[in-house]
Amino acid sequence: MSVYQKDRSLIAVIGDEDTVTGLLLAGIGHVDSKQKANFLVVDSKTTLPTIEESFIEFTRRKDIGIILINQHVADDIRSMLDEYHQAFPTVLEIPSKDHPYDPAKDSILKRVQKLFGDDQR
Amino acid sequence: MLANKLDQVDIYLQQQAELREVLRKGFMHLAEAKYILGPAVISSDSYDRRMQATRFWSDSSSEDQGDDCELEDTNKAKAKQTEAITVSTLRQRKGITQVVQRNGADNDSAKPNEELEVDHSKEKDRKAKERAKRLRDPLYMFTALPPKSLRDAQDCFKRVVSLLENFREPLEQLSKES
Repeated sequence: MSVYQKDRSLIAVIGDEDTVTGLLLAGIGHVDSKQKANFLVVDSKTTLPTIEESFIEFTRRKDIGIILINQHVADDIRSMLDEYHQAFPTVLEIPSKDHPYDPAKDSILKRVQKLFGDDQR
Repeated sequence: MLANKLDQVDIYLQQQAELREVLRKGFMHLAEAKYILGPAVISSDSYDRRMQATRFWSDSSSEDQGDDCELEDTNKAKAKQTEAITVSTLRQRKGITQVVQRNGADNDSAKPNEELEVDHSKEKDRKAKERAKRLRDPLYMFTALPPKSLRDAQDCFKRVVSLLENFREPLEQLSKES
């Protein structure tokens, strides 16, 4: 077992090149012995199945504690995020350089809103 | 319970606002670094395919609490270096004074050289560790002489990673179904 699996300590990121580059500068980037990275750069050529596969892979890994995803990328896999209910790894939507954060689209806040809606009935 | 949820939503939104601001500065510095070094240098083509993480989710609050993404890292590193040099100098002096106080025996004349050698080897080990640490710094993935803007961008994104710790509790509370 990898030392990171014990603590679920790695930070994964799915985002545009600037977001991933910046976070890699911060030191979160990790490529294991099987050449599996904890990040995915999403650009105009990245297909939807690639993003979905990466997200599923990150959610299944035992060494990742949190997944950071640009909100505009999250919008592409919104249905998948809305159905994601695991406690770990946590998913956090973050803004990108060109796409500001919109609380109305955040899956976590939508879930809370739904709870409030159910309670009011 | 609903009141608790609302409080957590409030905290979550405040943290998002802070994160947004730090990210904005980070992107700005990164854009400046791209302008200086060229977009081909600061790109995914320069990523080191053997990189190892040095910042983690479990201890993301342990470093770099600087406001406004100032270059506190370099100042701290300089202070540590000065302290290390002072300590190693003291050790050397102590070794020499101990030797001076001893009387007579022939084997004592060999001891000063041995102690100085031990101190030198410790100093070398320390320098080798610092060099290895510098090589692991992702800053040097892109260029051997990073400009100030790239260092500022790194500081900002390190601050972003530190801020993630503040999301832990709100995310935990908001993810609960009940």
